[in-house]
Amino acid sequence: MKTRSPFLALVNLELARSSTIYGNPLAWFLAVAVLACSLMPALLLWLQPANPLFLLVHESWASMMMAWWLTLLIMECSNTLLRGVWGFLSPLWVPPAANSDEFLSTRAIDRALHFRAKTAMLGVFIVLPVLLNFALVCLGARQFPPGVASFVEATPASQSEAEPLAVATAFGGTMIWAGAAAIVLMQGYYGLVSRWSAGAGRLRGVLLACGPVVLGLAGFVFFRFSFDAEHDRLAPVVRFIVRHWFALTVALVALAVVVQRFCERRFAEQEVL
Amino acid sequence: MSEFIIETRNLSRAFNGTQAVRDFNLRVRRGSIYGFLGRNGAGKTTAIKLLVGLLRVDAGEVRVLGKDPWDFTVEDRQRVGYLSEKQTLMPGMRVDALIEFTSTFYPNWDGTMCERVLQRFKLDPKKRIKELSGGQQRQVGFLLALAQRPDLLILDEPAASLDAVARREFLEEVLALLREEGKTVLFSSHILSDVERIADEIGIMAGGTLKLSEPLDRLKETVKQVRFHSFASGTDGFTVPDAFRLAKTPTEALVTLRLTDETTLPKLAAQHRCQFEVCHLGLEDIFIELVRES
Repeated sequence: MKTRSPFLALVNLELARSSTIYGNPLAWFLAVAVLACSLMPALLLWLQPANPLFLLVHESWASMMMAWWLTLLIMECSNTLLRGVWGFLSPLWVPPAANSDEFLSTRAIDRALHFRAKTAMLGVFIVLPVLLNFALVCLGARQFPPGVASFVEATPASQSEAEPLAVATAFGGTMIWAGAAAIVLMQGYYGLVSRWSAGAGRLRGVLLACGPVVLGLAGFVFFRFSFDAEHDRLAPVVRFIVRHWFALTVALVALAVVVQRFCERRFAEQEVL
Repeated sequence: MSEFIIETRNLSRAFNGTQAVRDFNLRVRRGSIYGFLGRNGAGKTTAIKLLVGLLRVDAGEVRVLGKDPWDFTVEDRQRVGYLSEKQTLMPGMRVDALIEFTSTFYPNWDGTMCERVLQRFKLDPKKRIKELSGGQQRQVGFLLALAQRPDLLILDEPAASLDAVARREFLEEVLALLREEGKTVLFSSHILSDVERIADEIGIMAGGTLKLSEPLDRLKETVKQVRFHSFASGTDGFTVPDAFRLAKTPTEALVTLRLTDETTLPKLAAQHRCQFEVCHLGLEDIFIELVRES
């Protein structure tokens, strides 16, 4: 009867429990959209290298998708983490009847293992498309259109030669990486504040809101900086990220592991219900 | 190894300033069936949650299987079976899938017993949890707690939504578990006839504290209701020290008390110049008398 390891059993369980994510058309649409967005810059630049309007529309749409996706992920992280490993009040809404936290929390299940299984499930099915998106945009930016490649490989002295389109594409990659990093940082933040949020309704609300508010402010400042500044102020950052995309992805995964272990320790101190 | 599988000392727990459990002192012997009684809101569920490590204590000490449940390892949890009052199982899972999932975490999982109880409760393993009635879901929860072969089984209102037949079957399964040496069951219930049928020790909780904890036989033997009547000079000034309850009219007094000394009643009657008669109480009467004032 016991054919599976506890970890695989928990991953399987979380897949079943998270049917709101996998059974939700909006979530599927967003996941597919994020992946599709990854492929489109390269494709568009390959087919329409001289059509700035087409690319601009695509970039706007891709940014909007990313914003939605990140919002959902952050809400997911915050709800899960603030309520502890067992909490699953999803932004996609789980009816109370579907909440079997108490049952799970009183079985002989290692809490850390359960949380790790849940994170693995989230990571593979939700964060992975974001990282794929990042990798594909960066590869596209470096390889396909000559204008983008010249921008990515440009030195500060020659950066004035960079084309606006190239900057837009590389900027897309930067945004995606920053978005993935934001998810990991949000997880760390909610793990950090989870101790103080337990059982305190108003404080929980404030702590819950602080993460997205700070992230929103950071995003606003970033966008202001991007739109107001000349390209040569933003270009070095964007270029650095696109040029070192692989190392940055590895760094992000390493950060995610550290944050995960930190959160596991925090949850061991928390009440389940 | 301690004689007691559960021991608490001055346990307290509050929620937003409301004291749900206070100075809670409980001792449950190994191998016993402990019936845990109390009115709604008495603090039973909070106390049970403290015992299974779902909640942290504010003050006091709790020892279950010799350890603080908050520090339970996976191995410790394998020794404690628990069915909560409002346990919700994964609604989309089939019964057999849920059994397979749960069995993964228990090396001593008893598949044979699982099959037997499934058949006894007439549960269809191919059905999804959400397709089962409330009582059937409760039976699945009970089955999952039982098949792990726990040393200690804690059941919070296990028979609440069961029909009479299912309740009887549940009681028989609990008794079957107890036939194995060293197994202990603590269960809370409002169905006092069930408690009376199987429990050998009783704890009665009121206002967050354990008002009484002792063997059922001793309880029924010593707690009595006494009607004092034919007072020579009225009931004014009539008091009984340590009475659980005292109700007076101008002509008679009804007292619920513990009788440990046979000379107590004649002495009281002589002192207040009245007659008395003793009424024997069942568990339900004792329970009502003890908690009514709380």
